Amino acid sequence: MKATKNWLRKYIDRTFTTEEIDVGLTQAGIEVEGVDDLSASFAGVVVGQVVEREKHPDADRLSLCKVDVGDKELVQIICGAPNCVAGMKTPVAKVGAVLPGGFKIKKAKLKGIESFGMLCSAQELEIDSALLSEAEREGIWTLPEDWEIGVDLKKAIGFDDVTFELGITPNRSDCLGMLNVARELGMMYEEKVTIPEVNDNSEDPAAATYVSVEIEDPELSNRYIARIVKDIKISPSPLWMQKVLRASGMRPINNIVDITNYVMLETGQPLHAFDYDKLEDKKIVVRAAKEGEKIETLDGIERTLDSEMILIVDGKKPVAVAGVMGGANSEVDDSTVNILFESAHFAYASVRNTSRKLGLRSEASSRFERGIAPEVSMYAVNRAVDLVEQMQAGSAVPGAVDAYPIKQEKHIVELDPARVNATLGTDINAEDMQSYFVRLGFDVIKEAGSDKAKIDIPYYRTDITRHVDLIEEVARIYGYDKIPTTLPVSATNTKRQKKEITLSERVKENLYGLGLSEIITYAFIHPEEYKKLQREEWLEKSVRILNPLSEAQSVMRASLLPGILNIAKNNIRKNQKNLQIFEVGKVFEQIKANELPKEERRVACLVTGDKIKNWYGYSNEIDFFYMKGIAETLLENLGIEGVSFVQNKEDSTCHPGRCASIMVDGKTAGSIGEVHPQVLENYGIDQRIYVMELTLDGFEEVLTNVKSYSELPKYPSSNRDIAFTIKEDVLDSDIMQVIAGASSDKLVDYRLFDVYNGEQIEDGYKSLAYNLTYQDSEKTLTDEEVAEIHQSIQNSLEEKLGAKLR
Amino acid sequence: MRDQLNEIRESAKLAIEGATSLEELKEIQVQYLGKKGKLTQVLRGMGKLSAEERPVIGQLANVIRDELGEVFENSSKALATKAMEQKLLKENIDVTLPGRQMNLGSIHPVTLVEKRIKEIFTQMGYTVEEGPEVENDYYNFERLNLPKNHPAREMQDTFYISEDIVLRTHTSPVQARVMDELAPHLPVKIIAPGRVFRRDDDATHSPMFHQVEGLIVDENITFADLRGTLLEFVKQMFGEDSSIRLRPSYFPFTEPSAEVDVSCIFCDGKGCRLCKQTGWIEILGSGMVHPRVLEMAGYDSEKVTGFAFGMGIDRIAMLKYGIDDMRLLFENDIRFLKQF
Ligand SMILES: [Zn+2]
Repeated sequence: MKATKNWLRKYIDRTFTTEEIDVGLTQAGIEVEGVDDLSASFAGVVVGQVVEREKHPDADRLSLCKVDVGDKELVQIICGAPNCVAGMKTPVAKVGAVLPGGFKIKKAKLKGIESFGMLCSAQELEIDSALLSEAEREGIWTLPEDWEIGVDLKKAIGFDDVTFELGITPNRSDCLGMLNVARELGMMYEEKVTIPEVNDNSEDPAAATYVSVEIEDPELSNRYIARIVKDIKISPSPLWMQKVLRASGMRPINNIVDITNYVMLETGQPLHAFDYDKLEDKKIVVRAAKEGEKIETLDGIERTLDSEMILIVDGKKPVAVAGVMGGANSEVDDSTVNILFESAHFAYASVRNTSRKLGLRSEASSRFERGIAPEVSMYAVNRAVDLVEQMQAGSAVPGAVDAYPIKQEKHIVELDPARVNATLGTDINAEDMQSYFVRLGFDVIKEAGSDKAKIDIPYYRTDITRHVDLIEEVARIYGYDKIPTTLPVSATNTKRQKKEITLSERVKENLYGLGLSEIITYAFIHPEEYKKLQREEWLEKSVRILNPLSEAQSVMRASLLPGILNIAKNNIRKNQKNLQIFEVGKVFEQIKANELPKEERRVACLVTGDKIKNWYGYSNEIDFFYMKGIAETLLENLGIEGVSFVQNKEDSTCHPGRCASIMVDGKTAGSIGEVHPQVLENYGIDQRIYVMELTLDGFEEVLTNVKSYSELPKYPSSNRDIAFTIKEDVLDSDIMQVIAGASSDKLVDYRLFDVYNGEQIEDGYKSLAYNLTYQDSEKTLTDEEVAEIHQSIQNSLEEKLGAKLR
Repeated sequence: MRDQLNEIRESAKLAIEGATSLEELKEIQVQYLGKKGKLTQVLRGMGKLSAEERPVIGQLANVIRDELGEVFENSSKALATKAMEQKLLKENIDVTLPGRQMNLGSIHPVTLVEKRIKEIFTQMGYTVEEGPEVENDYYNFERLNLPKNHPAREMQDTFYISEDIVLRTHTSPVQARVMDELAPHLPVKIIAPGRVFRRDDDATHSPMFHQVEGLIVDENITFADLRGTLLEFVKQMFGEDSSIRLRPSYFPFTEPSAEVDVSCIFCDGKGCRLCKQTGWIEILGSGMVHPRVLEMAGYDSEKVTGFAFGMGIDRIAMLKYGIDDMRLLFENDIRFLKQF
């Protein structure tokens, strides 16, 4: 919605500065999204007339003109435009003029002849092409013949104005009309706002002899007014109207079209004019369109409709798509003699959907979509008819045919100053509060012996229906910035913080401490990602978005891996090959159609490249065990117990020989492994990558585990090493189990410290060495006691796993 | 014997002076002063001496012992110092070589800001809540006074999963969920951070971003409390000198509603490119909880009031760290991430 300074001036007798309008509207709650001083674009350009035109003696394509610019003498100007003819009126940039972009006009010599200025095209003046007819876009700009010579062009076209792009909130659709913007401005500065008066003879029965109106379903339209104007003389609209329309971004067309546009911008009520004589049955019917029904719209395109659209029918044929566009078959043209003005109210959801589906959004449809007060419709149509008569463009048939099945509700709301102050935390006295509503132009009915008053809400303010709406009015008129600042005295909520949140935070802190960087990726991914991961089966359980921005963002992720792998790929491409990253986020799984999906919080880690770049040697490449170390440390720090890693050859995303399930208390909680070379190829990554993905759901309880101190050992411990060879395929976890099973509670710690399978070791065997720690909490263990336990462990290893002691 | 002793003294002194290491010195010490050392051996012959000579020689022997002891001591100190000096010299390193690098992790700027916001509000007595990211239309819209076909739904371009299920467009549905759980208990005093989704993608909009919702419902909560709370928040978030400006606005679930600007942190409100010369930067939307929203949750809107606010975490992170393109936040370039 655009407001212009000159237009506002028509209702408020005060010359506001641009700043005043900006601040005033902002404080009233109308966002000023942009301010455009139209007069700043060019200077020194006037309306001129080409008096004489002859060919340049030395250049066929150039015209040598004598131009009247309102000065005493004609000015000699050379022009290259082919449409330059004697008698035409056109913009003239005189010597000293400045065109858009700062281009200065100077005296010039063209093929030996002097030129004192320039005849301008609309493009050279950077006039928005939407404001121009096709003819006006060609060559130098042909101006209307009746324009006065010598007048500053900006004034002539209405560009001596400042426009304000306004962001109108959905509750204030009334401000889609200039009148109500003026009301707001007048209220803010306590200035009188003059609303144009209209003749209301709507009760006169004459109109009903010309046409009837029938609304089939009030759900589609709850008001439709028709007024008839006879003996129409189509011509250009008066200059004052052309100017404000142009400044508001609308191209003047002819008096009738301009009047409908002007009244729409003024009142917010879109109007439509039908050629009355083209309506066959003289009977307007508002009904739902039939599926597949067709109509050719004003733009000459045949539109296919569906049953959600609303149609205006003349008793025989469709003549307009309600609220969106008129039909070609009832268009007003130069031969039109009688017209029917439509001022109506249509179901806004239908207009919205229709304009979307047909790709026809306009100033009118966007106003219908926001919903206008039905009571405004009569004022608007009467205003249009008055303007026709003022311009002597036709003669009105008295009366209006008004189908109005559901009358707009009238609201009178009681203002309770005590409650207003209690809600705002203010101390505004009752009289001041009442005066605010007077400023708004509302009727205030005081109640004797009470602070309370009844506020009569005008029909155009559909946003005010209950007391809280009055509170809002008081707050904005009093001024938000005058309201005090206090802190609530409320007690703290007794609800405990959600543990899931704390767990996420703990996970992030731990991984940060372990040297990983947090990433955040989109929760939606490309369905192809699953193929790349060799996990096509995940697509079935994935949540799909019906209206994604693109296919690449069309499926809610069922795993964090695609996101983290893509980030790795992008970084590696930028030559950042050493990466240690993680993400904490939710994954989604569709359980049942039309129910909320299951959301599961997970953490994923990815490590690749070198651990750290160094100068002191030794191999530093990240391997599986680096990833596993991070996983183990994380789980230990979180206090999650009962963790084991079980080899998993089935995980198709991972290297079959380098992958494990992370088990907690026997249940799978995640997976860890080297990414399968095929998956890496799918992602276009050519270095080894290690990943881990772990669920966090179900572990919230560990946060409440209270750590308790256990006494430090009083008696010394003894250490013994054990070294043996064993078949290569025996897993460390098996050995651990045997050691743990064979020892008493005196074995307090055991640690693998060497793995060797080089020379001196039989093929198919490996050599392992463990350090075992024995301790008793009651006494010092004797060498004999230690030897006995140690021996039993050795025996077990030999018997159960075929270990050969070294 | 006296001569013998004097000779021992002189040769010992010579030997000590000639010693080049502590080990050598130790040997010399044993050689002269040890149990089987030269001095002891000479003194074994004391028995042959006359009674007059004995104390004189004995005293001389003691003098020599003390004297040599002192020389040994000094010499050993000198040698120790020398040895230390040599050791230190040998262990000289290039201290300008880089230290052994520790791996430094980083936390995403969005998380850092979210954490700070949570700290500020938990200190003020708010608890942190959460809700699902895929949400029912009912909670995302209807319970926030946005019935189907309400024009205000157009303010937020929504991703749909089905007719009744959406990707939540704001964290506000958590308001309704928490009130459902708590009503009629008072107070409700929560913040709810989380991811939200809108069909929008350019330099200033991302289809996924992060918000924090705040809600307080109790008796006697005022618009002044809202202003005070937000002022306190921006002072803690952006610095003690920060101020706020409230502009009337519209949200279906609050009334009166306000857009809230913070004084520009780049120019201290003087006007610059980032604040479009206004001195103010919009950071959040807020207002008094609409009575309809309270009523739908089962609260008596005649007796209790509340305020709510919602802010974009990503936007605040961009302001705080001077990030000019929102897409940087989700590109996750490691060189970007490591700066935090
Ligand atoms: Zn600034």
